[in-house]
Amino acid sequence: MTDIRDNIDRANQKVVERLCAGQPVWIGCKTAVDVIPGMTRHTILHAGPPIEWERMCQPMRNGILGAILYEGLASNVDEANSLASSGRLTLAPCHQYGAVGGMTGITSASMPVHIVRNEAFGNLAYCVPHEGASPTGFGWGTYDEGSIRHARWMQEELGPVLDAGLRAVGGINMRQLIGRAIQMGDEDHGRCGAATTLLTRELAPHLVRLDVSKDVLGRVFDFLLSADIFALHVIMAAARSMVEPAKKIPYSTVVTTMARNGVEFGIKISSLGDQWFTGPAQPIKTVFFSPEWTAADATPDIGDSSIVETVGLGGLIHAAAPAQEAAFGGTYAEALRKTEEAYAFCAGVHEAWTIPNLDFRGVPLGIDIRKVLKMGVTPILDTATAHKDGGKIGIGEARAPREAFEAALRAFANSHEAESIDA
Amino acid sequence: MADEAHSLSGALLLGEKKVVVNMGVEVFEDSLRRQGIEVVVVRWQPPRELPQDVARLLDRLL
Amino acid sequence: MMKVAHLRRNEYLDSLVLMNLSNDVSGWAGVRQAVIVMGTDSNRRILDQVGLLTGEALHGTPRDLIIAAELESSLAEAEFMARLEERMKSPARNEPEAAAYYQLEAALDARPEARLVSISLPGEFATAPARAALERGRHVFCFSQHVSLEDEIALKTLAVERGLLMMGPDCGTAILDGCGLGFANQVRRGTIGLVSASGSGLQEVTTLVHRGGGGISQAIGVGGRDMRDPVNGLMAEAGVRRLNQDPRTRVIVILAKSASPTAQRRVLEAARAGGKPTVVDFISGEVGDLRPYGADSEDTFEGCASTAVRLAGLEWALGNEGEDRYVTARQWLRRLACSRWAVRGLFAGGSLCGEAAHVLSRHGLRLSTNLEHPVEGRPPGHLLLDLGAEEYTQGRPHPFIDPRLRTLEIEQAFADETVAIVLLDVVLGWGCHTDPAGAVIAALQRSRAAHGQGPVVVASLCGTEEDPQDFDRQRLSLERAGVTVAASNAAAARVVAELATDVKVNNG
Repeated sequence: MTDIRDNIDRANQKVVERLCAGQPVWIGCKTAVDVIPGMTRHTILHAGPPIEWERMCQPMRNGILGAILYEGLASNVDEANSLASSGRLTLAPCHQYGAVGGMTGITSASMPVHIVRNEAFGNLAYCVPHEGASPTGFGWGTYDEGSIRHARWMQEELGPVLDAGLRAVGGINMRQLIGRAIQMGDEDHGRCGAATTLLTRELAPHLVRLDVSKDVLGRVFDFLLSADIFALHVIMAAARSMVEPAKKIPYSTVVTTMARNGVEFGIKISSLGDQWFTGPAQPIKTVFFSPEWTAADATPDIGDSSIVETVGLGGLIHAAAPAQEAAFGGTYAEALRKTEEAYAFCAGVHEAWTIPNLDFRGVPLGIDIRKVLKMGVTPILDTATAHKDGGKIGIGEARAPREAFEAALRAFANSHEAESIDA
Repeated sequence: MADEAHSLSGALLLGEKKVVVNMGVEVFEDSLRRQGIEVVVVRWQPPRELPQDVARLLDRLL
Repeated sequence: MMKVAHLRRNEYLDSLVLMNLSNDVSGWAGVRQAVIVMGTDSNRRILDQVGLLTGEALHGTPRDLIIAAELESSLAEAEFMARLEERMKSPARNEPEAAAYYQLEAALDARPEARLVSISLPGEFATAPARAALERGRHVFCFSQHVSLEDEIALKTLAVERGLLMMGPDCGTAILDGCGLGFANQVRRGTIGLVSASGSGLQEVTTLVHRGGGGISQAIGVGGRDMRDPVNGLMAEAGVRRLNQDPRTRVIVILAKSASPTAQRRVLEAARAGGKPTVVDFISGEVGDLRPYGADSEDTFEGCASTAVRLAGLEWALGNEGEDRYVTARQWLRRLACSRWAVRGLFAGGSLCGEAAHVLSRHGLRLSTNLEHPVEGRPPGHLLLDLGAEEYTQGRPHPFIDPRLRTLEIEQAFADETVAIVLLDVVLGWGCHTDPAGAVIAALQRSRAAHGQGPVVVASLCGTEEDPQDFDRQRLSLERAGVTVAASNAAAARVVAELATDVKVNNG
């Protein structure tokens, strides 16, 4: 009889192969309700594992209130509040709809979403565009006038222009683009400067040929160039499209999702499909933008952006982005150490995404919950920090809580109970 | 004729380049370096204490 | 005065880092003493002995870091803790760190030219990396103790299959291609090859060979249990075969604290097959008939070294310095209180302790030792303690590095009204304490301040003038502190045996 360990190892290799085979292509940017299957006018998606209104952190509630006002489902904040708690809206994780969302992850019907198609497997994934340089917006957990105005602009100008540009360029292969960005010093979570520049460069010649006014184009370019981070949400959609075909491989203990809602951190592992395993959302080691803020002002770890760590980027590859480490006062040696850690808990590497500084070794890919628990070292998630009442106040990194990995391992063992006893 | 010691396999235990991998006590790293040996460091931390059931599962599954 | 005891759960620091930290912190203004250790049983015993096992420290487990200190009223606990916090952070930041790996496999794949892996992890974690290294074709030097016999045999069997050396577990030292691993001395390269199941024996023989005019080709350690049943010389045989093939090696020396008949036969047959002159020292163990193998047997490391040097065609250049100088010691002894008559040996080297026990027994002294089993309390009469034995080293550095345990024992010996002679080994070399003589002297000064002149102290000094510690200065400072320094461990034991006879005559 084969040892269950051999089955697990083989299955994990298969998951790594599927992740690695992914060919995410950014093909469009369209209105959520038109493209996300199952999305309705009364659906509002949020980041992380499922959570009821009552237990949500304030930034997430704020984002939902903002989306209600923006969609015209209520005419003032009081009405919005009672609607949100009434049970008449569908509040659900982005992940449940094939989507991901940054920070609060708030996604409602009229918002534009990036569409990424995994050409190798044919599946689609979605993510609302990043809000750019602004420290406010639904994603950051604010719902003031400015946040709503900015969302409206993204819906009316940004989305259509990007969509038309993408149609003209014929889609942008994100597997290649991410690979190039890593060569240029991005870890593609906290640092996306290279990826954003590359995306803009791909789009620019096509955007200027579109039949839109110079004013509109000017605003779109101003926006794209206002923050290095624009590419992150395209990369997130790409990562989301890569993990779907890697799910449901029997015996695999590799993580296919990591996401946080500000209260809980949740993972999925391949063999157990879409079941969530959670632990408490962790505090973020933050560099605050202003001395007025301290750890006491911060919301715990939040957002679906940790999907990029799930595919071997971000906190797993600081060695590729020494500047990311330096932003936190760290040294290159520390960056190397963290990346070696990641290699130690991963089942394989991504053959097309390589780290120049490590002699072009592939990025660590396929977080194995067994190894994470054995090492006692959980993945690092690069992230931004939201104020506990909403608004972006810093950048930082957090560790995933081990409780989620323990819960997943227990469930895995339960599902193979009969066998394990034999083996 | 080449140095007899080099021509015989097994005569050199540390290899031509004298590189040693050290895992554990740091004093030994330092001693090796001071003897002109290149040291490749493998960092190690004892595993965190795991809940007993998880530790047992890992014994079976990893 | 105030006692501080803090516990940090699940925090781990290397025992050497902690020793340096404790020493450093103990020197701060306002700090009477500070002990920062992992919460193992032996460390908690030490805390208890120095009166610091209080508060949270009582609940420490081997996985927890204990911070215990005694502060003057001038230093507030909060300030102390804040400074300590800072001190514990700083080295990591300032240390220019080479690229480090987290996974042995990754390191080995990236560095194919690295042929040897040195492992000194806590024993329960040593087997897996040792196996991984062997599977990837690397020799292993395994310093770790507390590895199961089952694992040891499996690892060594794997090594033999792959034509590799599995040195250890519990291998204190080796000298390969002129490079010292673990606790090793800087010795001349030459034609004498060693295979040793005794770490301090290997150090004693290699240093005596060096000081006696010879040199070392390879000194292969195999770990303390290799020559005993059930390992039965699995790696010692492989080591001898390797020396047989090594053109540089002309003479083979085989050492073990004791050797099973199977192991003896195995290594001697291997040596005979190589046809090189062979010397063995199984110290206190039974030695079978060596005639069929044409090997020489010695029962001291000194005898082993001198025979090997002669077999290598060289002249033995080491006199019996020290033995004629114990006149002073004898005079000192006459002035001692009549109650003092017993020998107390406090050894850092296990085989040096074994050798001393052998020499003293041969001179008719009846001894207690912890060589086979830990001793309970302090049995009356002659007592030799190996302070590097397992019962003392769980979770703390070996006494070659960390002199604190012996410092306490020296003070106890002075306080014990029956002890007339203290016998010590002072071991130099790579990895060892930077000033072991200084540590002994400090302990003697403190003990004498508390208990008067006290017992006669005899020591051997294991090392060479090329060791990182200055051999001559170490000897001089010991002698200046009134210690009789003998040329070898066996010589020191002989001096003590004769002094002990004198005491008996005096008191009788």
